[in-house]
Amino acid sequence: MANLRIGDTALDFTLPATDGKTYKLHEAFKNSRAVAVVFTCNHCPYAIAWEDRINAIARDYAAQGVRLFAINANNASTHPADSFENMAKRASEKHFVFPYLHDESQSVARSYGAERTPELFIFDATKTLRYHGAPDDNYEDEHAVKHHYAREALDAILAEREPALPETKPVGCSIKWKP
Amino acid sequence: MPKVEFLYWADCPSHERALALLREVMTEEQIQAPVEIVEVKTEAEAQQYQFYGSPTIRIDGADIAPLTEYSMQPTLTCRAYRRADGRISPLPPRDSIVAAFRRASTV
Repeated sequence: MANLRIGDTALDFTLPATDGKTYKLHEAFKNSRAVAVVFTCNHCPYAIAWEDRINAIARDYAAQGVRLFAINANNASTHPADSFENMAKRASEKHFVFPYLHDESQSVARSYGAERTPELFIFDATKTLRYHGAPDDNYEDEHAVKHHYAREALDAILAEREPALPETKPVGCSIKWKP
Repeated sequence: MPKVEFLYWADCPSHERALALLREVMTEEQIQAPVEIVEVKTEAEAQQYQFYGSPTIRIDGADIAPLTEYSMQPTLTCRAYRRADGRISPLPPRDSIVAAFRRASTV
């Protein structure tokens, strides 16, 4: 279960990204109406199945002041596909429009209590957690999605409403922790 | 009667749907055979069973689908399957299960 509860304040982090920059979460809030933090990875079939949809969310909501960060915290020693080098390849191949951050120490994933890939935490402009869970309700077929959880949460936040469904069960691979 | 094996790691959420899919296909293909269900719990067992990820289905010892670049070594992990349209899925494609049974029946 995540350490952060709905209503909690975002935990700041500073992490390197595949684009060569270093990102500080608190800076993202300066000019954003919402910030999404997505724990994800390269190797997990659930993360792969959802990555285009997550990229689309970042692209579709950017003009409305939403920032999205993806974080890969997996142990690359046991899952080499999740190395920083392979993260950079994936970000390039898939044309990620969001920073793809490397949490090599796994300290950010641990502080958030993230357990799965993918797992989303969406904060409003006051850094308050407003949504936690899965991107939507169908990892297998994006055309069969009935509830676009993340999009519905963002729409609510942007309209200054409470998300109707603030929490769903994250579905995906477990984060691969270091011994 | 083919030997049907279903291997899974409980940490991967798709195994229940995959097992249901396997049973559906067996019903449709009129295959009456027991399904040997193996829960893989440790890295040592993953090596022992040559387990490339959850879920894995074998018909007469042959994997129903080729490995992808995401599942190239035996380990406790969720398996990535490539669908006919090229997309990656945590679920084995139905067509691959059907084809595997039909291959087994012709051997």
